[in-house]
Amino acid sequence: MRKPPLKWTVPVVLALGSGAMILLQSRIPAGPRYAPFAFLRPLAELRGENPDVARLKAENAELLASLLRQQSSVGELQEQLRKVSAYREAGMADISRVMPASVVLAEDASGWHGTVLIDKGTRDGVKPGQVVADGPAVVGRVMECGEATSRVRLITDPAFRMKASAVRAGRPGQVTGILAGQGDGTCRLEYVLDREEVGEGWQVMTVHDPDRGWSAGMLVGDVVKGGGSGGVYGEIIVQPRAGAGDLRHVLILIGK
Amino acid sequence: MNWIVFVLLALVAGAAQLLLAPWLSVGRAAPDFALILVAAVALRTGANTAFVSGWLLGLMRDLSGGSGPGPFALMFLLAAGIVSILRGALFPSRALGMGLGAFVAALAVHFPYGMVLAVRYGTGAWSAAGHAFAIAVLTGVGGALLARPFAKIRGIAGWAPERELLA
Repeated sequence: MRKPPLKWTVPVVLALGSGAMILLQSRIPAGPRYAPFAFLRPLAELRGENPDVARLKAENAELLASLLRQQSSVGELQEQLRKVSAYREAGMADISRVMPASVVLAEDASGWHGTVLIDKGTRDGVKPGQVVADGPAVVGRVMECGEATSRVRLITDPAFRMKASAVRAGRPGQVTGILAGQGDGTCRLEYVLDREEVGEGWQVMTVHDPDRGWSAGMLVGDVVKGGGSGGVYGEIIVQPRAGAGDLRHVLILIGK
Repeated sequence: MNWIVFVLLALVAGAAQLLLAPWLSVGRAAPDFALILVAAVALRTGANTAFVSGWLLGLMRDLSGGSGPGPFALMFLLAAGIVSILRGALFPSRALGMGLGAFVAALAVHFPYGMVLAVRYGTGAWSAAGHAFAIAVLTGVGGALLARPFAKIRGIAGWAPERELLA
């Protein structure tokens, strides 16, 4: 058979076609749509893995884990910063020092008490009786301290008591009573001796009590049910602003 | 040439590249099965058939790589052309002939590709050249080993008998 002479039409057309495709790529963003057979690539993973690839994968996983840890840490710090900023903006000027802390255990194991465990203790300067806040809202008080952790009694704990007053936002009127936890996530303002009719729209604030470390004007919660005639002292149901369920970061008011 | 057989062979080459080539790799270099097929076709068919088959195999490589169509199609076309020119000098049914054809085809594809990458991304021209040479050697060895099987399927693939090629 005589070898036919090489005809250049076909290779030139194919080469021009290839060149056109290469040029066209610069106009269209690259992506998996240009690799319709790329779905076959996972098949390559069925075989023994290249040691370099395995090493790089391990490094990648380690770096990813490190990144996630750092992102989590940054997120916690941002949350703490946000709460400190909220506290400052609320004008709690008479207590200048606050210490951010994280809640490490949200509920008491016994289930009888409303307490949380925080990650600051005596070595950080925490003392029993110090007030714990969530931004400008009261969370509770430090009940007992360990070296590295402390237990905080929440205002919803049945054993919690503090003097508080209910005020009507933007209007005159104030009643004072004793705030007590009810153990069900709410508080009640009892021993309210004022005749003022209290109802929804009222807010409960702390009252200046230097003996117990309370400064005036910290927000406790909102009145959800006004005092009726059922209670001897006209009990008022209060929904705390600081919720224990989603409490992750708190501020310990260390004092001046 | 029987194009159905060619398509089947192309699929087998693609599967071998994914599943078999990593086992046969030396360092980072692995044999290129698609180029063995290019060499086998180019050594047994006319120039135009070789060009078209090479271009199609290159396009398949492009489309399976995710880098966009074009570059490998062009280089496989070049490889098919070079091997087709060598057709009269190589015996495709012999291990040495197929091995040399596959070696040349692999060098024709991977050397320029490596150089382009070296220039564009600074991967190093010498290491690119060494890598291309290693791929070409492995592909050549693969081609030599597959010379006999290719010779056996010559009939159903529609490739010309060797005596016709040499006539």
